Amino acid sequence: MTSNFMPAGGSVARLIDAFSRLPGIGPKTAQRLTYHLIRASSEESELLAKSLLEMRDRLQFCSLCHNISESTICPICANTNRDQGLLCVVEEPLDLFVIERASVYQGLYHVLHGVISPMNGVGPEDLKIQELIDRVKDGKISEVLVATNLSLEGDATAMYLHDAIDPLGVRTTRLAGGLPSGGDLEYADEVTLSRALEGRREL
Amino acid sequence: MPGSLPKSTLYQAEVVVLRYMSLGEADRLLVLYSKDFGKIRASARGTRKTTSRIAGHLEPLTHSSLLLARGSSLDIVSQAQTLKSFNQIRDDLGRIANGLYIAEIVDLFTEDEEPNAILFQLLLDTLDMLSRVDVELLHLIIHRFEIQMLGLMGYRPQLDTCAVNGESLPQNVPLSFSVVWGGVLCESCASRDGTARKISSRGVMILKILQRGKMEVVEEIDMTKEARTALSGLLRWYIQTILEREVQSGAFLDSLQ
Repeated sequence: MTSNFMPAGGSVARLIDAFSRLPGIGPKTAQRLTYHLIRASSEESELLAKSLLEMRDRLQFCSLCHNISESTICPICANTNRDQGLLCVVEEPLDLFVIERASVYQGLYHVLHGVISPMNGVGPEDLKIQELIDRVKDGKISEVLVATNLSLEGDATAMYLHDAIDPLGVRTTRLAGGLPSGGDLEYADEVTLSRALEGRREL
Repeated sequence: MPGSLPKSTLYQAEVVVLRYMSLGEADRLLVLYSKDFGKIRASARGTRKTTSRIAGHLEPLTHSSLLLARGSSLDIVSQAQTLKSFNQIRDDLGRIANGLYIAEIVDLFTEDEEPNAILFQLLLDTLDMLSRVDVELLHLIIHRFEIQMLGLMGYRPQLDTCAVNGESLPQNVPLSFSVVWGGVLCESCASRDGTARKISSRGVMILKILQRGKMEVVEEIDMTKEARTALSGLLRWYIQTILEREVQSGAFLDSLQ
């Protein structure tokens, strides 16, 4: 697409084209990134290229939690100091990073790699749900905390997981829904407000 | 003015949110079915952030009043207020699956900016019923919606007489249902369409009750599990043949039965 405007040469046009395939990057940003690299030192380009190749080479998924990992068992699953009985289920690896960054959670994780999305043809069999059930059946887990997004599809996935895990005698909990910190009561919708009321606590 | 979207920079719309996709860094692209303008697509900025003031009013299957701003390619949601959240749908997996199924067929059957106030009302009424009827009745609510919507879209199946020869349909004999002829075929005309599917005369009667749509009669329909599966399969096949594509959310809905 951009190559039409780029008589400068094949390699530059190819790089712009490659950048513009990335999410959130339009043709203009792709051009800017490319010209930045043209002006920058060759080490900078080499570092970028090397990091990309290395990432692809080493990338694998943890065989337990299915998070992105550089080893068969990721550092979180390998850490015996973490609560081995508590399992937090998230949609994507990015969600796991957000919870880890807050450093308030000390249990283990399970990454589903998506959410049940009937309209997009994504069913339970397309996610790491069977793996989760097998893990729970192993017997060490006493609580599964479902931390999928608080969207309709996230809620549907949470209910599906509850229905699948409850018969195994393991407690399932859901991330609290309600008003965000910094949120304005005036703009709260019915669903959020009713959840905030249900989840009220003693002062 | 119903029909074409207004020229002014800001306009109001009463909508049901059908679905959304992620757009850019923190935005969502919404597919809405509006009362006055039919299906519209709009972007809702920042709705993936937890502090969004409008995100909660824009979840799928929510009935909302919106203020939209004309954009060069996509309109932008400026304000949103829930009219009805159908809270009870969100608390039950079966109700969600049914709700998403009807949202998807509305999306698949409609074209952008072609208003149909009757369809909008049917959608609202159906969501309302989905949120409060007994779980046992959910499948009838969905089939009622399917057959009524088919009628509104110009695909009302002919159920009273044979779709080929126009003669009245005999009782207690095997009949067929044909997409090509758009209705039920009597035994002697069944060979006119090789793709036609078998249907019992009781099946035809149930379709007629659903087509008339009176809820007090619909609620009384009593069906065996096999009959339920047959009816659901027939309507799905009819819809998918007309659309020439699969209704994606059907698979998940079936898996819950």
